[in-house]
Amino acid sequence: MKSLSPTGDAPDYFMQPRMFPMLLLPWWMAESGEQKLDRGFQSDVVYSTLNGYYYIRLLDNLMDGHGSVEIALLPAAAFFHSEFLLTYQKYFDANHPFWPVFRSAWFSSSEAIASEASVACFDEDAFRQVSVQKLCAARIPLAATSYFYQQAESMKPWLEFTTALANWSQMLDDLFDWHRDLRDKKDSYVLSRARQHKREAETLEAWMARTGFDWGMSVLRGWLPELHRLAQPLRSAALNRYLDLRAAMLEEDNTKLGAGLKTLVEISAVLSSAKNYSARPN
Amino acid sequence: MTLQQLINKVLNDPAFFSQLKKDPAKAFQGTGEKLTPDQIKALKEVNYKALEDVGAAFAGGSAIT
Repeated sequence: MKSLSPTGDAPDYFMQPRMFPMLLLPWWMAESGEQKLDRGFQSDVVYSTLNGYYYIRLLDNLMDGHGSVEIALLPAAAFFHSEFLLTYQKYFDANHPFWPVFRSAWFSSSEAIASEASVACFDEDAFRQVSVQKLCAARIPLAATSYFYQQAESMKPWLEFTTALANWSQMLDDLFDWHRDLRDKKDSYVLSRARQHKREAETLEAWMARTGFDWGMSVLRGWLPELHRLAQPLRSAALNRYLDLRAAMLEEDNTKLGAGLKTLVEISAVLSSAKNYSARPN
Repeated sequence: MTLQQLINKVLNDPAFFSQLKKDPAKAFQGTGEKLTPDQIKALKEVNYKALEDVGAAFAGGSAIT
């Protein structure tokens, strides 16, 4: 848990602005309702979600085939799963409508982790049906929040928004992890796209530097208006501020990283220039 | 050195990356590249500051999901 965090302090991992806001979404949902926030419940939701996250992360790392310490940590999955589940048993009895939502979301996440390894080509459909579904467990704390505050009607629009945000976040993840995924021989939507669209003798790295990063950024930009549209009926000022922040961060990354990748192309052109000169007839 | 090799070197070899920013001609000496004076001049004009963000963003992988 400490090794995931950039500072070595486990909570800081979840505080990174680029992180999928799994802990904030239930808070924003509760805040947007008319009832007073119950801090004890919200704190339990955060605790449960952290345990659910570590459980999924542990399995996902093992399924990727690149886990190092994960095998030794596998027995801890029992702890994470129990703490994730038992928290909700305090609030919802066995026949509560929360549990079918829980079951559906939890099973979809597990199925996505299991099937990701066998996907031959990550086109956009496979991306939405497999990669993004790993994040659908984020529906569980939202369902719990809507039932706890007796705002079941608010659940559907929040779940729709969360699915769209999961799409966006997974795409961002694929784009920024392209080099690590390539090194670890892990396929993704971005790398599949690179394989399909690169020139005949071009490498995936060269395609990413030449045009792939720009393509990924344009996809992310293109999905932002849908996120804003889905956020509108949720009446959460904090959520809208978050989307504005993410849009600004995306533009900042686009400027900085786009310039960096073009610099690499420029250096490569300089290095190959001598070969071009020597190939010229005297 | 191909673009592929250059990207991998910049993202995976901190010593090369550090040298590249300070003295690009010296950085490429150890890679088998024989640079002409024109190439050295051109490499000195490159904006290496822009590369730092690329190294930070893509080398270690992100923490998003």
